[in-house]
Amino acid sequence: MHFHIIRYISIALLLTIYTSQAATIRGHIKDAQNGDPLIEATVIMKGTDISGITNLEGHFTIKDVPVGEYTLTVNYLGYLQQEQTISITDANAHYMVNFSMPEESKIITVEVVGTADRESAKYALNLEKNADNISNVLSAKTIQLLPDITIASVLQRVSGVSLERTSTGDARYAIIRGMDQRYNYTLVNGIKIPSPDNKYRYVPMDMFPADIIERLEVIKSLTPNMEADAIGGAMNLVMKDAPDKFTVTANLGTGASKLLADRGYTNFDKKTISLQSPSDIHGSGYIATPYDFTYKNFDYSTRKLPLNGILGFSVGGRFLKDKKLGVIVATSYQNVYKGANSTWFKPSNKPNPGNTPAFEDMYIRQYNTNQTRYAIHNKIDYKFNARHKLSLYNMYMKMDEVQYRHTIDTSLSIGRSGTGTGNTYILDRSRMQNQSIYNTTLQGDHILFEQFKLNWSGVYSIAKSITPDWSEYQTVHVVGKDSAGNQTTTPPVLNIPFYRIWTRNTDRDWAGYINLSYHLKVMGQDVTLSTGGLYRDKLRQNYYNEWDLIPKTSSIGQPVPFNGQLSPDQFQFNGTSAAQGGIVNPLTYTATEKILAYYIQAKIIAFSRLEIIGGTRVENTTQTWQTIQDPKLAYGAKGTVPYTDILPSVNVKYRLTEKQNLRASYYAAINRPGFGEYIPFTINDDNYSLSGNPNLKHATSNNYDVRYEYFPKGLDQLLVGVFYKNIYNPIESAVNFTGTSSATLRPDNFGTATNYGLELALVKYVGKFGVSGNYTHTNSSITTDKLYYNTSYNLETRSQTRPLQGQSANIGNLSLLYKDKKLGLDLQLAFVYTGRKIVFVSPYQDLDYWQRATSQLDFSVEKRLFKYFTLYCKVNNILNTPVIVDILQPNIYKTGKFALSDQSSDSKVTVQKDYYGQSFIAGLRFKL
Amino acid sequence: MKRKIYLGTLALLVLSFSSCKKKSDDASISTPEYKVGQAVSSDTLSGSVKGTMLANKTYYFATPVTINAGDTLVMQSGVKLLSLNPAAQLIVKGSFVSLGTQGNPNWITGVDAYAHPANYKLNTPQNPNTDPGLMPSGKLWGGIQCDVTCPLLDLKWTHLDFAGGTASSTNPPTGYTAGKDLFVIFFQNANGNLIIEDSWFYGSTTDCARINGGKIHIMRNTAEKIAYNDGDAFNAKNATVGDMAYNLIIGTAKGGTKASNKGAYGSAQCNINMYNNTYISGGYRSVDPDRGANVDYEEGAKGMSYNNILVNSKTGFRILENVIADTAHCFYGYNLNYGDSLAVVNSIYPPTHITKPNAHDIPNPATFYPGYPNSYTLGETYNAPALIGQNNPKFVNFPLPVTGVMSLYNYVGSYNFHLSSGSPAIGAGFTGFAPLNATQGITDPYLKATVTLPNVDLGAYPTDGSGNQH
Repeated sequence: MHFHIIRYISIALLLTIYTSQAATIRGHIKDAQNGDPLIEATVIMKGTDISGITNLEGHFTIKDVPVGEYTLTVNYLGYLQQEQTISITDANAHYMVNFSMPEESKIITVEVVGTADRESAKYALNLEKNADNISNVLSAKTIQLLPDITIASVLQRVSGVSLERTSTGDARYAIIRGMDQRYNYTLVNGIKIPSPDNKYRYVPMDMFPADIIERLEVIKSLTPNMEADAIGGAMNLVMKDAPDKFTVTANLGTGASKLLADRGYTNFDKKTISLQSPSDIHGSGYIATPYDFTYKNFDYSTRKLPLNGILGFSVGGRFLKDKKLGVIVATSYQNVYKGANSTWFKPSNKPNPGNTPAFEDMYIRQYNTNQTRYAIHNKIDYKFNARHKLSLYNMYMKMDEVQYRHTIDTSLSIGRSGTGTGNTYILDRSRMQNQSIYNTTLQGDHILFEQFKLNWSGVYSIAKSITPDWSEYQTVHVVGKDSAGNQTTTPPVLNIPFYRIWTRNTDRDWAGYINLSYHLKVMGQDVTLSTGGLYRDKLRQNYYNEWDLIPKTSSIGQPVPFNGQLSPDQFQFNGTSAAQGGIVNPLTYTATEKILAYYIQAKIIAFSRLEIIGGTRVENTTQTWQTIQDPKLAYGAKGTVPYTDILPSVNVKYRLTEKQNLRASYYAAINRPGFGEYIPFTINDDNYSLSGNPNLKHATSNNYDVRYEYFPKGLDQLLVGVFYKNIYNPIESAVNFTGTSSATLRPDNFGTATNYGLELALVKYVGKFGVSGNYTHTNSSITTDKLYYNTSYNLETRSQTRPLQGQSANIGNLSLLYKDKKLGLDLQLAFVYTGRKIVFVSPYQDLDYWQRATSQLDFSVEKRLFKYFTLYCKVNNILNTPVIVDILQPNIYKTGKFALSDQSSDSKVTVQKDYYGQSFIAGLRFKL
Repeated sequence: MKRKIYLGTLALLVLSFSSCKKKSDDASISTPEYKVGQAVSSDTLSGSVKGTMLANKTYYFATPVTINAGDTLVMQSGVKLLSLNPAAQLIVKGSFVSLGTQGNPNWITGVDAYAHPANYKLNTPQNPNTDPGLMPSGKLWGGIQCDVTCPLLDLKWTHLDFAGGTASSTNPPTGYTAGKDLFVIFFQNANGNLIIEDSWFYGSTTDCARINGGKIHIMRNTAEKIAYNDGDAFNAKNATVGDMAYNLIIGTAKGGTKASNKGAYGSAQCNINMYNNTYISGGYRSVDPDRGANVDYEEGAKGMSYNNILVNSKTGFRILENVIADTAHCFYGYNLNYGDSLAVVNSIYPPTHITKPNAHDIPNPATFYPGYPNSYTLGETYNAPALIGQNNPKFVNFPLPVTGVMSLYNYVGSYNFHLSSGSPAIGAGFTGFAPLNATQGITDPYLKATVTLPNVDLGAYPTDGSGNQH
């Protein structure tokens, strides 16, 4: 029955086509050399507005062609333009026209500005294939179809990459092949950008909206001309370039979170936040009173269903004679509301004797977050002639986050007589954090003489973060039982602490890059010799002020019942320095970093099959710091650490066939200590002191890779690789304890860590259907000192071997794709698996926190409407995948007075369970 | 062939860089200016000092004064060290010894408080928000902050009045960040000795003494008006071993004597004997309910605790269940509890904690504790209104039942906590245990601790006159 209906419809459709009284042209476009189908190639009929695009198998169809003489033109990046003429005589006939496209000369491939689409998946694939080093590339087209709206979430789709998420489930940092964010860096158009983080260099990747980039490259092996502090890898965001054809794009979308739809969204008005601290207003050393602070930032209001807003706009083209001037401006705006519900059992700082986990508090938390991302970038380039080009790039990314966190903290140690009883703390935290990165790069490309090229960049960047009046107040009441067993509740009273924190930091970066290359023929083979260098001057300033308000006692020396309304008369400061905001702390410091790097590099292409790029890089680093402490009084208030690294590398690519590469690479890399990690400021935490370590050494590593690549046709690819890394002096935070003085948790160097693994990536299209998947197995190992609390109530130091924090043994992606060119329909169902991993390294043996394996499912669909519009919809976290964290110890908390909720296993204690809910986005894209 | 060799050579050249090794340079890290400790010569101390402060002389300080590691500063008897500024403070990296005597005690306090005690020591029930003993404005110097290198802090017959405040904004002592509450005494050397005997504490911001490791002897002291709303009198953590005995502790915000094996300060379990102490009206100002137990063994701590008197203690004698004290090695009993309110008497064995009633406790648990001694549950909530006002310890001069607000009885003034005849505390004690005498390594007759053995009478003032001499 079904079959008949389909046949009937088909016939009807065919009839419609045939009755249109116009001819159809079909054809196939392929690479002249290897026969690869060229996808998304545009066939233009000169002098008409009729055109066609090739599908995934290189076929194109142009319908409704009136009788006449035509010239068909095909342009494709990296290929010479081809033309054919055709004479259409029969309006009902089908005509075949095939193109065989010769490649342009290899050497100048990258110089060609073709009309082909640099944002296409095919272009990205060609880059991956032709790259000097081992990389994975995602194109704008691919990214557009992903369910993700930030670069951080996009990264999880890349082979070998997993994510570190924020407390609200947002992807923030990339873990590349098990190496967490400290081992990776971020480039924009090949230029390293600074971070708004207050201690480290790594950049929060969720600052970047996904729709502003042309492609994302994850580079896993370094060449000598690249900066060397990427033991894990480098992420290069290549921003959109001025298109040849005047182009306007726009994007308008909206969406919502299911979790917020269910429970509402509650937050404070960010306008109530005072950007300036009392000491900013009145000068450092000002003695504040509780009247210097607002209390309106704790007035919360609830909205039923806040809608997200997404806006994007770009315009670009090439102007003047010979299109000498290229301009593109792109902006993006995202206003997103998110929520998370979390349960967390706070392990006691010290375990029970016998080193079993102990718990003192149970937290039930609700997060309400509003993230606003603003991005604008623009690129202007001017081609003086074929030999000289100047370009100016500007970028400004800003992310504002407003977050309300509501916590119910039930003490398990005080007043607990069973479920539902105990001291109960209600905490409300209001926090606004604004982060931004600005970068401007002036770049010149010059061909000085035949075969002799010069490329230079002058860079200014500044990253900023400000968290003004980050504060949380708390009340406490006791839920207990009277002797008759009836529940009793004491009135809530304000508890300590009630902190008000102003913290901000900037990272200012001046850098100059210069690269020279000379191409010559040696024995008939292509050899390119290059040299160059980099100088960077970085200035980082951190500022942290904290005021601790103390609730006043009553006139009879007892806590005052809290009436629900905060006001300044309820508080005081315990001393002058407290009222000054505790200026002397480890987060107020200035650091500098000066790097002078230079390299020599040779690239040999021998017999068109073998490519060797190798050379050596030297990086001279001088890191300094100066804390706010008086160096005459405090040890290590100032310091300078210089070091030099000589970093060889070699990348070999052997072209087995036109479609297959075999690659091998070796590179040496480093990992610099974070700016704050040196500072020996010691503060007492509950259980151990926390301190920096001025004697810290930077880590160095040797990295080896082998990869086999196969690009059968179209977008299909198969990549199989193995890697091995040796890291010397890896920096980990660990406890330093001699037994004769206080244990100190501080960053330290720990011998040699190893990390090896296997990567597999596959893309296969059959007709309109595609499968894209990757799998990475990683095995890392590091040995550090830990504490062990024995049954005689004493501490011992023991060493423990474990995987690196954040490393999952198994990670994988699987996407099912459907692409119907004719209908302009794209569907993608994307699945991400992240194996279990350590998310927090405990100072105690065997008490690390392990996040369970997660499986996340996302969906996205796009449908072209009319000529210029595309309708899209994205659904994230379809399975409402929770984040569950366990301590892998026998579970003694399933029953009893101190039983923890949600315990399912006998062999592990669940300490955290977070839910984020599904989110939906729908919108319309316009492209002219 | 030749061509291949040539290219091979080039390839090797490219590869050969890998044999290079990195070289490392030397870091330079600033070290504090070392100032040789100057022997005390003038009457105002500043910078780094050592030597002897002569008997009966008055000295002044206005800034943090450092005793360098290896140096010793000694106060002979009758020495007054008076603060001119709240920033005045003792930073003890070496040893500090104050040798007051009963007849000629030493004083460290504010200059004005010394001259006009009546303006500062308000010995009537006071609103804490105007009481110099409790308010930030009444913190006249920054306490004795011992660094991890301090081998000995030895205080005898010394008044430590009106100390506290918050850590310096320019140079916070080791272990503090600027703006955080200062302990009157901070001791943090597990191998060091801390002797505090026959001394007085009046007013503080937080704990009188926080001991993050050390061998201690805290005996026959008086502590009044301790902490505004967050702090204990004597608070010992991991790696602290010793005795806290014959102390009179009155009007603390939270607890009186506390032992917890929390922390990682050394290789010894926290082991504190708390005996023959008298605790009055403690725990009321604590904002955090139930935190301030007057005798308190927490997380992995052990010790022996007998012969104490607890009067109107908000939270009585507590053995914490989570994180659990070393209950197998906590021995206690023979303690007297008196309460003027139902809340107090219902907290003699604080509900939800696992303090084991002892048949020799006063009142006898058999008279009120449900199921005792045959079948009872530790931590049970009970109701014993009949105990209100019972077992009055009959102090020589202290109103029991109290008149007015019990939480405001936070001073000694003219009260006298010796026992009158007929006190149930007389002869009710247990003497079958020994003090730890942890500072016995200090044998110098001037420096060594004088241990008072457990007494058959309860409290700090046994009738044989052997206890607290204040």
